[in-house]
Amino acid sequence: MVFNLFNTELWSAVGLSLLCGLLSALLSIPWGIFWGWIFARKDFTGKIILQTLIYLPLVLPPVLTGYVLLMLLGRNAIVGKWLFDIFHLSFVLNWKGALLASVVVGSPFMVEAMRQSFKNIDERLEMVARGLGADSWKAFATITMPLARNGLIGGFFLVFARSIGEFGATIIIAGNIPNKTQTIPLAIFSSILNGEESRLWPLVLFAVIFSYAGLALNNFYHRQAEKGHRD
Amino acid sequence: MFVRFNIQTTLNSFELHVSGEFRNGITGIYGPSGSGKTTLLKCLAGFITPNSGQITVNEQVYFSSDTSVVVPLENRRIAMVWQDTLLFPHMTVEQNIFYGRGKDCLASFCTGVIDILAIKPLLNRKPINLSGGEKQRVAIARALLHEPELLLLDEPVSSLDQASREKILSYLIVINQEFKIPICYVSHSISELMFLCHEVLTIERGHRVRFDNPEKVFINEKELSQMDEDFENILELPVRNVRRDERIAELNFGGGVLVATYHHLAGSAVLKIGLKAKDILIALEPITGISARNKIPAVIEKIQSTADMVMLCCRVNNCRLWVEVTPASFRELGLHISQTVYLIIKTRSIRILD
Repeated sequence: MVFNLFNTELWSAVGLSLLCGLLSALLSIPWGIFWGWIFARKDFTGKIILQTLIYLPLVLPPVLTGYVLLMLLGRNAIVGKWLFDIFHLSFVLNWKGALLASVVVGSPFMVEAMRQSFKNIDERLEMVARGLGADSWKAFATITMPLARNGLIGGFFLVFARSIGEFGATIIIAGNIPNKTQTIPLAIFSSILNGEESRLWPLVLFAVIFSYAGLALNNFYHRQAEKGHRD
Repeated sequence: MFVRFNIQTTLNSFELHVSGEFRNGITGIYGPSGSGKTTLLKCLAGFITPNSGQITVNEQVYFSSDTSVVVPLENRRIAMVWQDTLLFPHMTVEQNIFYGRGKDCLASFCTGVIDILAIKPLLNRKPINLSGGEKQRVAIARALLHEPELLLLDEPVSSLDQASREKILSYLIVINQEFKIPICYVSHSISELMFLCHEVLTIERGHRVRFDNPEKVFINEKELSQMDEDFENILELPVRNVRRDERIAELNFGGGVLVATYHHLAGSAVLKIGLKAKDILIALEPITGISARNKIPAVIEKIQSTADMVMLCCRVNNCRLWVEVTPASFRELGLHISQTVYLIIKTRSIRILD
């Protein structure tokens, strides 16, 4: 088995995967906090329908998710055309499409991590803080968020790990263009198709290392969060 | 200081309709579980908005359904201490107690609170490293540093051991006298309420039953007969020794031993016992040649009397027992505060509640 580590396409795929992983995890934080808090703390008509919709990318075939994104954000689609005309922003066949695919597919993990974290925090702690003169924003920032910190960090690494494995939605919206939109899974796919073993195995190694590290860190912080709630 | 309220609210088909007034001093709220005691406190503190009524503190309206006034809880000068303390687990004791105050707390007031509650050595600790009694003292300090016009305490000592319980109760008396903050104290324990409170509000099924001084509320033939299973003295005492052949348990009590009989013993290290005030006899001298197994020296700490009975709060080191005598016995024995007496208790008078 020969490893070819001096391959620009390999490092481009690794770099783009890391970029998409980290950025998608960061971008999913506000989304996760918002919906996680709503689903943990509020009861309203239609909650199950809304919750299912937010979590849908977890179970939809990623290829379909990519197709839906393409239908919405393609140059000729209403939203895509508007975004391009106003902000000159396009997600098709570029790295931003790969990032968007990672955010859409990974963000439900962040929503669920935050929902669980908020659910495990005694709501009365916020009431106590408010009783001591804090407004609801201060109570949220000084009590709820610090106590949900481990859940948030765990969610961050879970979204990162999910992004490292993202394939279906990315290939539909961003395409599989070497040095431009090719992430690790797409590069692995191309290497298998073309029989490029010298490029395949380093990619497999990186994929396993990043995924394992992301998942292990998620488990670590998840355990810390549980321990914190038991204390 | 004057707190007046008349509130009506419905929560999950439970209706609370209570009115009352709290003046300077400690007002007790007594009632069975689910009677609405905690709901009343939550309404006063602003955690629950009542359906109708009015709450005023020193003539400032906190809630009025007539004029649609609802002062949000963060703007009310009412602090609440919960049974399970609810300290912020990610903060140190110092950060907890200054949470509501920041740096603008008057130094002498802060120092006073910290000194009275003896929490200076705890300031750098996290709540997880505190005992139950320490947590409760920190929770009270945190509430006091908010400089409330009314302090609400929801069964603050119910989960504590006897020694910590006694400590917290004595702190509360000092706090009330030192800082002149009206305290509203919820408890299931008649002895606590009689020891602590100037007035007691009793609630049943969400409605006010009585609002009077504790003597009139609790030392009343009719109520005592209704509360047959209520003991004026409920104590949790560590088991020193068990003599299974005689069905006798020896319990650590006030530095000595309290002997009780039992029918069934679960084998726990601490036993909860109930003892009625009228089942304790008083003697002025140590007595020998008597069948009662418990002869305990004590000091009279407090005397509360009505027309037909006198209640004596007797201290046995760090524990207290309420003893009931008739006014005639009280006069004939010449009982007075700080007098040393001997408490005579039959083993069978002590009921093991666990």
